[in-house]
Amino acid sequence: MRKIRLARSKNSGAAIILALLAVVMLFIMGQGLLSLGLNRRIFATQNSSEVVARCAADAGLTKAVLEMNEKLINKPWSDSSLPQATNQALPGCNATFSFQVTGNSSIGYTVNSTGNSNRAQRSVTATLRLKGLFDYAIFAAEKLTMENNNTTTGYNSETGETDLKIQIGTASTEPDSIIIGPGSTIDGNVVVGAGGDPATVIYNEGTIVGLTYAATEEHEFPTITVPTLPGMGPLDVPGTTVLYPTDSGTYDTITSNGGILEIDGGDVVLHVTGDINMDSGSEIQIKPGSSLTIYADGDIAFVNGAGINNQTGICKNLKLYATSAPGDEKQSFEIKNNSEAFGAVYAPNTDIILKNNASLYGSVICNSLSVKNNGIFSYDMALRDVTANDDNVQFLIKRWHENE
Amino acid sequence: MQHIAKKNYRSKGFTLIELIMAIAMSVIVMLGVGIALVDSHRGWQRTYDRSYCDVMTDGYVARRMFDATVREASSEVCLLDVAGRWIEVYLYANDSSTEVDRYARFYYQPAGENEAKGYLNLQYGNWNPDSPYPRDVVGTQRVCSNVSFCVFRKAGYSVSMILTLDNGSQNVVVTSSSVMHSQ
Repeated sequence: MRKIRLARSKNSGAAIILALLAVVMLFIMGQGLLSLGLNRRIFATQNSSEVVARCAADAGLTKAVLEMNEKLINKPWSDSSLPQATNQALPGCNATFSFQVTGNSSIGYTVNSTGNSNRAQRSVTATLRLKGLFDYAIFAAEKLTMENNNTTTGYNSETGETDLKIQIGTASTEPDSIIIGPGSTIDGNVVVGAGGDPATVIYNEGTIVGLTYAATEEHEFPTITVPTLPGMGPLDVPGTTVLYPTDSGTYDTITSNGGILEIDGGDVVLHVTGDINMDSGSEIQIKPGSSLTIYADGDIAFVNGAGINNQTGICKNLKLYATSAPGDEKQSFEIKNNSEAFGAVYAPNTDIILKNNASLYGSVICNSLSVKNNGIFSYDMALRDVTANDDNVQFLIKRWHENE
Repeated sequence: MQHIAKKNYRSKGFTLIELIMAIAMSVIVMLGVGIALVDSHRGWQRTYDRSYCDVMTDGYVARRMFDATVREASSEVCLLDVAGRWIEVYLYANDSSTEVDRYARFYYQPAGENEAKGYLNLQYGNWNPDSPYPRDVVGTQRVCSNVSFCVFRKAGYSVSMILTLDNGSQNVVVTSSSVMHSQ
């Protein structure tokens, strides 16, 4: 009995060998399959790391622009301590970014941003520009009508250039939001709201020299920031009244019935919380070497021959801001100039009418604009040249490129 | 003695059944390994062919070129054909450019009379909006051939290209979507 048991014990060794053989074969197969997928996995990991690194670099750039815009709030602007960051973590992933802003107000600003993810690194460089409120010659939130025989063109009061191409547009995508009447000429591009079809939004019986296209994103009308000024009460102008820079302040109302309000001696800033009513030939005169900025909370009416006479002939020297935002109660601007007017108007919640034979130099941002017959509208490109010390400006990425 | 003889006989080696079983199992394992190896080789060959065939490399070049151009383009202006057959973007030549001064137009050129497939071309040049002829064509480059379908789309700052390349034996669909980063 003992011998029989021994013999059985020896027979079971074959199964172990076979099992070992099978395990070895399966191990080899597994190794082969794993090695087949390994290169693909490494390639995929590298690719995804590069994408994440690129996103991190762009995130660094976005943060740099944000910090530059936050720095703009503190006036006066200083070129010292420009934003920079080193190895900041990008939330939600293992990437980091570093950025540095270089340059100054005279040569402009450049952002270098680098993103890292695992062993991948991507770097982007962008130049920044300051954008003000008057990049467009005319921009309407809703409707823009140019009736018969109007001309819209561009010039630069600082360089002396003329016949420059301009840009007008609307934020609307509704049909016939821009009407260009017979004999009217737009010497530049016409932009319609994002997603709109220029062929239906623009009703053109005149001539458009440039391109017609839809904006890439919905137009935002920035809310106006009114500077803090001392309270001055109401301002009545019975005869001739002169305002100097020291008279800058917050006024309840401005009213005149045949009087002259002279702006002299430098930059005057008025914040009018009520209405501005100028009647019976009264006039606001901006003397050479001076400028006037009005922030209007209420309505403005220049009637019965009243008007604004910008004697400097420079559009930058007269800026009119309506402080209500789109959606608020509309403000009313009634300005009738028979001859030339120089200035820039930012009133995205206001309907404006330019009467016949008017010549307006500057820029108009409004809810709607109607230019009657035989008008000439000239956009001053110098309005685009803003500085970091101006109000209501922001930094934008002008040119972006990825470093190889 | 009888016990001893029996013991010696059993210890000489495997039985016939054991051998048959072992061989059968080995054949099954070898077949499995062989099939896996042949399949993986075929898969690798197929992947290699797809990776290095002309339509694949053409598609890769088209995607890279489209991506590199659009990413540096200005988001302010981008012209798109109503049918999506062409797209035109505008770029800055360098940091000293104050306005966009270059343009690039990707367009689909349908097949000619004796051709089976169309082309994707890139026209580029200087852009001067103040000139009566704002486009100064510097050159036109054929990006890829064997194009059976091409369409461009735009949504916000993003521009995409869907391209189908077909050389008769291989068919590749290339999709590229890029964001215009400049102002």
